[in-house]
Amino acid sequence: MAASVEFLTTPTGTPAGTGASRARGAGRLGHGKRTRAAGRLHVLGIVVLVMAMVLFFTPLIASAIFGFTLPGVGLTFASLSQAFSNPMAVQAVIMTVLLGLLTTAASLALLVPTIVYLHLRAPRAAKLAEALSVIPIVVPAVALVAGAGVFFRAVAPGFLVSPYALVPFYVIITMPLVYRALDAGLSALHLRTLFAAAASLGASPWRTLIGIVLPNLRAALLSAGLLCMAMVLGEFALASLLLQYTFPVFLVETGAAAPRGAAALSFVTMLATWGLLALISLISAAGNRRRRTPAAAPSVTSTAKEQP
Amino acid sequence: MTTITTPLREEFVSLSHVMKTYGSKTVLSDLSLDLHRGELLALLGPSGCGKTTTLRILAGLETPDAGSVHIGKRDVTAVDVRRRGIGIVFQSYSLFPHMTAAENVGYGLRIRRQAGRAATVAELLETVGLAEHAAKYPAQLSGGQQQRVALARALALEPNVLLLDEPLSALDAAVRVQLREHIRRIQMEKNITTLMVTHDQEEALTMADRVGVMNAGRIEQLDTPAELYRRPVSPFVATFVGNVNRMPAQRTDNGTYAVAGRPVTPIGELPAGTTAATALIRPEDIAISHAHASGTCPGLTGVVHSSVLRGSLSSVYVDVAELPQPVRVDLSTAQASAFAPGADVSLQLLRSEAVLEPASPATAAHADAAHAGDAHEDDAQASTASGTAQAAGVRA
Repeated sequence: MAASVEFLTTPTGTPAGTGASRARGAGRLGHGKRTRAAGRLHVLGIVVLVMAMVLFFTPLIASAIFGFTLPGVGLTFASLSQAFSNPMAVQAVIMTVLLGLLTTAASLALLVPTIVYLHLRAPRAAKLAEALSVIPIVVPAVALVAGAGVFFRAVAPGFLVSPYALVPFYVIITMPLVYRALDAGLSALHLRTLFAAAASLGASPWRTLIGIVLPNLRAALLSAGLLCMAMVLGEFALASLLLQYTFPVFLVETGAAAPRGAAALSFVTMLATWGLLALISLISAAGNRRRRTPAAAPSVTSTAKEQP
Repeated sequence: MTTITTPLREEFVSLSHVMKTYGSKTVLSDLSLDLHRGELLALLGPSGCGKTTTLRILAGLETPDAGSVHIGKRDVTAVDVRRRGIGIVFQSYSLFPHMTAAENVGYGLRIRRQAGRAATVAELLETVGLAEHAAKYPAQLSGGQQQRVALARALALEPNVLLLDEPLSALDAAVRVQLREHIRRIQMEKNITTLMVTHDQEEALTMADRVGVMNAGRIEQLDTPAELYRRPVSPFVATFVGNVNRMPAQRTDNGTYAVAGRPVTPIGELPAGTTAATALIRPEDIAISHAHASGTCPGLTGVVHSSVLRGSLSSVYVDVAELPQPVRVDLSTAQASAFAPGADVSLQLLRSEAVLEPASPATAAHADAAHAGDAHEDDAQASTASGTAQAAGVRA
């Protein structure tokens, strides 16, 4: 293909390799020195890492020890079970999980078609939307609730009474992360070609979205959902300001009366959140493996396989 | 062998007076194009010339600002892609990654809820030579295999028109050559009217019944590959399809032009008042012989600079004093071995027709001034002309 438009060129090409080989030679000469410098950097890195780990884990381990021991008794789950003896505890956990699921569903239902549309029809607006999706990070919960409170008291006074009123707020605060997870998944998909191909085969846009896009977006949908759950499980400010009794609110309340129970609970919650995050990275790694197609890198081996 | 029974000249698909602009940029200006039933027409052109937009308008993926699209007798200008009866093969990544090859091929049939799908799918996969790969996912297939699945999928609904959007450009060279023969064979067997878009001239020339060369939203020439190559109507077509040598041409007293001492008839019209021009001469249209052997024929003399082996053909590059760049002469590799670098040779034109590119008076004057100092020992006249050619060459 390179030869498709060949004007008269001098047949002796410039020796293109020399620059690169010279650079390689220089690299080999300086190799010893660089290794020693790199070694020193390496040691420094380990020191910084160890210090960070100590600072990070000490409070965690301390709170775990504090939560799972009693003076004179030793290791015990008594504080944890005592915290759960509160009849409100189970209800708070159930409500929070329910809110997490509803938030996930609402976020995905809102954002998947929106981002697909932006990618297909308005790639420039997609960039703007991505920038706008970050805004919730810089809006404090207090400001959000204060503003929304004024609005809803005027428009729908009963709305904020229901615990489900938290869902739209959660959709907003999880948007930066959910948007990014979905956007990354959709960017890897060659949406325009898939939609055009499906249309030429008779599929409507909605059918393409549900039958072609969603199945190929599984990994991104799962990570978005897990991010949603993780954030909702830890969200305190909004629920507290709107006077809803969710798990984080319960945790803080318990902490005032029974600090050991609260410490044990928060440690367990943290482990659960980490579990979710580990699941996300596992899933996205699996997704990446599947997506690595031979078409992306046509190689000599594909030529050999080509004989019918 | 395949025989084409339907009359070739019957117009089956036509785009008439199609316009398309994106914002302030005009991509297609008044484009008209007819495809005959059963032919493979290739649109060839540099990127951004509007060839893909043309294909997308025929597909229904873009709406023209003006003009109409007919398939058969039906006006489909406002008809959705889904109801146009077309099959499309895209450049790459068009297979549904979560479906096997067989599921991909059967997708359109499934949407139509057609009975006996499995048999149709098996037959199509057999046609493209992938029967044993039916259960594989796209990621498990090579690039060439993926494109063959895409072709089978596009053919599954028995479309009236097949559209190939640079179907081979993402593949490596060996697969490309093999697959283009494969696609051409299937296209001829099914006798399906096909529009292919490509920027690869070799692909267009070897596969198509007719080739349209596009430039800046217009079709510059629509012709059979042979005509296109031998009688290009414009300098753009001549340089875009095939290789050319640029040689100065002077107007003679009797109104013809002289290139390397030989009278040459221009292909196509030249603007009135053209006195100097650049002739675009194909490398195989020049004969090369050893200087001492050349008889009385007028021609150019030069020294062999180097030669490049291209397989059965070789290119011999000859430094000619009057010309700024070496002249490329293509001849069979066996013959080329007689011309070692440093040999004195003479060159003669083999054809009396050539595409001429007029040199504007301004560039001619400029070139005269720039090259006033290095007049050649042989002939001051030739030096001036070569200066003009050089200037024209640089600007082209």
